[in-house]
Amino acid sequence: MDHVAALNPDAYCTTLFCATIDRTTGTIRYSRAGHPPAILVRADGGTELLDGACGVPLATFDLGRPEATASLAPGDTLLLYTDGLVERRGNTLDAGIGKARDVLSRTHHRTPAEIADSLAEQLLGDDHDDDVAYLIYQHPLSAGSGVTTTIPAHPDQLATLRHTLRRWLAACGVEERITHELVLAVGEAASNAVEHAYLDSDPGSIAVTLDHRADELYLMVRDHGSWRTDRAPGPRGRGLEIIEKLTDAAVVESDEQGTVVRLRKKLPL
Amino acid sequence: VSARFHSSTSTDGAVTVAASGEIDMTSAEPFREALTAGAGGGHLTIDLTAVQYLDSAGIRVLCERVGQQNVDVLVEPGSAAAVAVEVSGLVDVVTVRHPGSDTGR
Repeated sequence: MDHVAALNPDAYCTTLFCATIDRTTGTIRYSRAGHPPAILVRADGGTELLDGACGVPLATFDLGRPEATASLAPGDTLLLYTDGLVERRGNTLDAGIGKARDVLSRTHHRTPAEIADSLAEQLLGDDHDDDVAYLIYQHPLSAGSGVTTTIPAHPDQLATLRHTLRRWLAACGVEERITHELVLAVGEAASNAVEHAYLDSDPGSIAVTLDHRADELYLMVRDHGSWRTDRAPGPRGRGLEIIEKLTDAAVVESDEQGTVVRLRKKLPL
Repeated sequence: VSARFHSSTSTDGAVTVAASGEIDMTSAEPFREALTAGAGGGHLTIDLTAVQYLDSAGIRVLCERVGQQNVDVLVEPGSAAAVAVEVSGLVDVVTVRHPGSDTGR
């Protein structure tokens, strides 16, 4: 970039934040050429500045380019921006960055487009006179469609499943009360699968998938077993009642392959 | 073992069964046994403040006991056990107390 900038007089002394993200490992490698730090929002809403690796602006002095790394966890959000977003006459850069951090803490679980709108609303007033560019990256729960865990359909495995689910929900920044509700809803669906599967010689397995899209969580509990056709799988009675009360939508589908329970839960803003 | 139960009797004969850990289908039977052991006395308090998980298997056991004697259930507000007691409707048929408060709700 220094070489390119040196060829263009208008690009002399341009500031830059350059980052590469390995989407598999979640590793960010970055270098700053006199540019303000990027803001990293963790899944729990806490913010960090990527303020390492600070070098001089482009095409000024040949002092080498420092490099730093940071780690993205599932559900983390990254904001890169030009100074126009955070710089205001009569205000320090730090005040603007602080304001951006506040907005991100409140909105990070929304879609990138919605986060971008909130930033524009909160940070760019009517008296705004600089050009602004910003970029939001959300690190997915996994590359693709959510995370899945599979357990043997055995009663002793239910605690392990709950433990995994609590960890995922924490990574999504889900509050305690909703975590209790969803762990119970999934627990009921999984217990039901275990109760039926346990009677069989081949108990099979239970797979639970979590997907976080915008302000909604989607959960799927699927059992794979060798089902007898005379058995009516799927949660019933108090278990099903509890599942329905704890979620915004609950659908149970059964066939010869087993049962799928799909749950949807809206998260508060 | 995912749950533990501890029973104590006060000088006036009131029995408290305190549970801790996670109550699911694997611990529902020990839970039932612990409550049965506490039965017979005049008043039973079931202390769930140290319970981290409670599902319909545990609720079923609680309901059986509620049908047979006068029961107070103690839960930590906002806890997993509180969520289960509320959502199951058990909250309507037993006196749910929060730790440190003497008033039922």
